[in-house]
Amino acid sequence: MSAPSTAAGYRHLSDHDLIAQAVLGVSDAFGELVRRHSAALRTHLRRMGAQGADADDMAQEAFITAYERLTEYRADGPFLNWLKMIAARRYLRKVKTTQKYLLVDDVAPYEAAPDLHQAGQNEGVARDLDGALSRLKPAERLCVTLNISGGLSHQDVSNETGLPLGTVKSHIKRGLTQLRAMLDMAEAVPAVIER
Amino acid sequence: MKDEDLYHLFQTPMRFDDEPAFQDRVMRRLGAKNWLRQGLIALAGLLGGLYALTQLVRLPGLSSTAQAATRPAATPDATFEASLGFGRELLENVANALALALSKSTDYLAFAQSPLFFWISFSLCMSIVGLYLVNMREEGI
Repeated sequence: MSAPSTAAGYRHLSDHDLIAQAVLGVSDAFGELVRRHSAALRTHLRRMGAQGADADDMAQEAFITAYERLTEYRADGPFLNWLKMIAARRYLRKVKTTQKYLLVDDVAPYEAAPDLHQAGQNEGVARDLDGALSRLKPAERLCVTLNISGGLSHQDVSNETGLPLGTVKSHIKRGLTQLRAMLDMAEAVPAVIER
Repeated sequence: MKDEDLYHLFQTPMRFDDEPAFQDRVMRRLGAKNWLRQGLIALAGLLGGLYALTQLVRLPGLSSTAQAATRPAATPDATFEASLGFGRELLENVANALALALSKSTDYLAFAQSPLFFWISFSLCMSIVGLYLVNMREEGI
């Protein structure tokens, strides 16, 4: 397959074709992969709990690590999930060394539980996943995001976080229940207010 | 809310105003890292080549053999000299300048040939390899 002559020419290629080009040293091909997946990776890190500038730094480092290890990508899953795995490991390493308390069960969520009336006043909050995630406990938020957004099984989440499997399962179950409740409430409240 | 709705929400990325700037930063850092790595490899090659050269120059009895072996090659090409007029002289001057520069740095060269230098270099290399392996294991996918 011949390489397109311009950066825009890479946009129609699949991730696997771009990876093949990037392995050959075509940096524009990797640039296209960055363009395609940067928003998803930055979002994933924020949803795990990383804060703005930190999340962006880790996303950049994850891309650089991915570029250096492209030959290790086995194509047994989406490229984005592989990127998310690299980024998640970076974040978890940081959490384990500097913020161990985040993985403790009794840590309070970043934000208080939503006020029903307040939620009703802002119609934009309907389906506000990020707002709802920020109201979960950090450990729950981390486990839920790794499981759903990162595509990891409960056992994999347990291996990556170092938390016992039973704890991971209960974090995910509790987190998902609360997320559903908050998102359903955000949807239902405007109708209630109208009456 | 159904499971697939929740899954779909998780797959929807946020919008960032600075996406092009972020991509530029990634590509710039990548370029800088590549440049640094290539520079370090070139520097290591240069230092290694210099070290190898000092080993060659210092070997007793080798210099006369090497001189005898290279003498026919050093004979100027008549056509080359006739066309440029300075072939042999230029080569001799360059060789003399190199020899002079090497002989002026005998202190360093003597150190570079000592066992201490070897063990320091060897330890540094092993440390780098060790760090690389540890890092690789931590980030293994």
